[in-house]
Amino acid sequence: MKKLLSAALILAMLCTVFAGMALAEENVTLRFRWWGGDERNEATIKVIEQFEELNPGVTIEYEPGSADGYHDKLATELAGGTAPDIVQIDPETFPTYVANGDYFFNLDDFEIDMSAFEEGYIHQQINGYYDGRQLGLPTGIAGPAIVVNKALAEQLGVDLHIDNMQWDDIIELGKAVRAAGDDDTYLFCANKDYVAILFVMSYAKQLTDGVVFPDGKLALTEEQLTEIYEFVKALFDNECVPSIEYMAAYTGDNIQSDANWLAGKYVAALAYISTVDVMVANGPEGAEYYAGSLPVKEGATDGGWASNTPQVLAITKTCEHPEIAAAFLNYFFTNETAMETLGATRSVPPTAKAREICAANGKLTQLVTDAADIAVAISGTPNDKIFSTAECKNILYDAVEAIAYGDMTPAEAAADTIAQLKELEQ
Amino acid sequence: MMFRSAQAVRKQRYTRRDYQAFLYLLPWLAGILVLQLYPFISSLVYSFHDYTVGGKMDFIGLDNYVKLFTRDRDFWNSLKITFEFALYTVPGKIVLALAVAIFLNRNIRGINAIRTAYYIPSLFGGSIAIALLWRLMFMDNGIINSMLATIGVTNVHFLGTRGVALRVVCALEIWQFGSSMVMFLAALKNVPRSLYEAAEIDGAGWWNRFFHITLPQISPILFFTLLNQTIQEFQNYTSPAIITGGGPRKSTYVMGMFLYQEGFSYFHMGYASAISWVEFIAILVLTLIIFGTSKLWVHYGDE
Repeated sequence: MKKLLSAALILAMLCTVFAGMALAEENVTLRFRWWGGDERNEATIKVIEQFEELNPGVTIEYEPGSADGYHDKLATELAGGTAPDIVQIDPETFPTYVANGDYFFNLDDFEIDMSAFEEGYIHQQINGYYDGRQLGLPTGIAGPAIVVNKALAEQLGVDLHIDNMQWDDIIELGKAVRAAGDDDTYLFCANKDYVAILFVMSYAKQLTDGVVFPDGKLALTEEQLTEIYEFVKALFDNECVPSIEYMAAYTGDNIQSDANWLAGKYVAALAYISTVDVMVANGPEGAEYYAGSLPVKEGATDGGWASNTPQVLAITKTCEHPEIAAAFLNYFFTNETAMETLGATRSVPPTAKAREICAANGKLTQLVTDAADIAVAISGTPNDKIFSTAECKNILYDAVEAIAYGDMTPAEAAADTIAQLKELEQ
Repeated sequence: MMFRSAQAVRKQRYTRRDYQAFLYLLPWLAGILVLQLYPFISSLVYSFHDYTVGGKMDFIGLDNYVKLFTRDRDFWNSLKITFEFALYTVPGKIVLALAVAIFLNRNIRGINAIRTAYYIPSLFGGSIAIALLWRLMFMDNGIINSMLATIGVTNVHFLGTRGVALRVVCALEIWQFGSSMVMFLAALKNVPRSLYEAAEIDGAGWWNRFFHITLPQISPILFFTLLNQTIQEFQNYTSPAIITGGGPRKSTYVMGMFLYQEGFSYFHMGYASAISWVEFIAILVLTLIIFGTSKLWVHYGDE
C-alpha cells in the first residue's frame, strides 16, 4: 500500500513537473529590439506574428526604434543586464561590445541552419564571427559591384563575366573596347575616387592578406604599391577609363550623371550594390545589364572586396530562453515566408535563397542579386580603421590623379604615398 | 575743482533709462559674445592643441603652426592659390562692376529694368545651385563647349586643365558683380554735374574726365569695395568646392577648402583652427596694406 501511495505521489509530482514545463513553454516572452524605418518595422512585426502563430505560447515583444542613441542605450543595458533578448547591432559597434564583456551567445550552439549563409561571408568578424564564435548573424550585404551594359559588351565582343578574373584582364578588355568602339566608348565609367576606392584599395588588401594597417602599422610595401600604381597607369594609358580631364566634372560619387553613361557609351560602370539600381536608372532607356566579375590576384588569401553587412542580429546572455530566441532567428533567416515578408528591408538579404525570393517577387532586381552573389563569393576583409579614413582615401585620390596626369611615375607615386601613409600609423 | 565736478557727473551717468538701453542691447551683446567672441577665442586656444572632434585636447604649443609652415604640402600651395584667386576676382569684379555702372548711369527708357537684370546674378550669392550650374556649363559636354564647337573649337577641358579650372571658378565670382555695381552706380550719381561741365569747357576728353573727375570722386566707394571684396574672396569656399572639388591636381584648392577638409573631413580641429588663424592674419595684413595706401588715392569730399 505504501509502495502504491508513493508511486501515486511520484506520478502526481511528475505530472506537476511536466504540467509546469508545458506552462513555461506556453508563457515564454522574448524582447526583440531593432532600429529602422516604417517599412522595415512593418515587415519585422509581420515576421514576429508569423512566428508566434507557429509557436503558440511564445510572445515576442518588439521594440522598434530610431538609430539615434540606440547603441549608447544598448551599451548601458548590456552592462546592467537589462538588454532585450534579441538585438540588432551595428557591425562597427559590435566589436566594442564583444571586447567589453561576455554579452552574447554563440549561435553555433543552437539549431540555426547556418548552411543558408555563405560560409566565407558569415565567418568574417564584421559579420558577427569572433574568435571561432558566431556571436551575430548578418542581416544583409553591401559591397562593390560592376554593372555591365550587355548589348554594348556583346557588340564590342568583350565579356566581363570571367571566372578567376585577374587585374591584367581589365587592361586587355579596355584595349579591346577602344579598338572596337567609337571615340567616346570606354570600358569603365569611373573617376579617380572610384579607381582609388574600388581598385587601389581592393588590390592593396589582396596583397596584404586583407589588412593594410595590421595593429596600426602599415603592411603595404613600396614594391606592392608600385605594382598597383602600374595597373592604375595602364588603366589611364590604355584608356580603359575616360581621361582624367573629362572626369573632372564628375567628382566624388557623382559618376551616375556622366553624360556618356547616360548616352550608353560605357561598357561597364564601377558601382556599389546599393548604387546598382541608380546606375541602371541613369543609363540609356531599355538597356540590359549584367553583373561583372571583380578581379582577384592569383594567390591572394583575401578577396579584398570590402563587402559587409549593415547590421547583425545577436542573442544576449541575459536571455532566459536562448533556444527559443535561436528558433526565431532560424525562422527569420531561413523560412521562405519570412524571407518573402522581410524582402530587402535590411538591404540586400544575406542568403542566396532570400535574394532569389526577392528577385522573383520584384523586391530586388536580378542585377542587384547577381552583384551581391559575386561580392559574397569573392568577399574580403572590410577596410581597417586607418585605411578607411577620409585622410587615407584623399592620399590615394591624389596619387591616382598624379599618375593619370603624368606628374608622377608609379614608383614615385608609390614612394610618396607610402611616406604619407606612414604618418597615419598609430 | 573742474576735475571733481567731472567725476560727480560721471557717477550719475547710468540712469534707469540707461539700464533700459542696456537691456535692449543685451540680445546683440549676448549674440556677439556667444557667437563671435567665444568661437574667436576658443579657436585660438584650439590652435595650440592637438584636438580631434570627440577626442581629448592635448596642449602642443606651436606644433600646429610649425607643421603648417614647414611640413604641410598643401599649405603653401593653397595660400598661393588663394592669392591668385583673389588677384583675378577682386580686380575683375571691380573693373566689370564699374564699367557696367558707367554704362547704366544714364537716363534712358527702361534703365531700371536693365539695372535689375545686371543685378540678378548677385542675388544668387554663394549658392550651391549656381555653382552646380557653372559646373554643368563648363564640363566637357557642357553648353560652353557646344557653343565653341560651332566655331570650330573642340574639346576644351575647362574643369580638367590646370590653370584653366581656376579661371572658370574666378569667372563665376566676377559674374556676380551686381552688388559692387549698385554701389558704384550710387556713387556715380553723386558726382556733381558741374565738374564735368567745367572740364568739358576746358576741352577734357572722356578718359581725362574719367581719371580726373570720376575716379577721385568715387574713390571712397572704390576703397570700400576693394576692401570688402578682398576679404570676401580670401574666405571663398563654395565655388571651388562645388565646381572643381579643389582639383585638378589641387589647382583650385583654396584656403577655405583646405581649412574645411582638415576640420570637417579629418576632424583635426586644432590644426584647422591654426589654419584659420593664419588665414585671418593674412587677411588682416592685406587689409592694413590697403588701408595704408588709401591715403594716397582715396579722396573724401570734406578734405
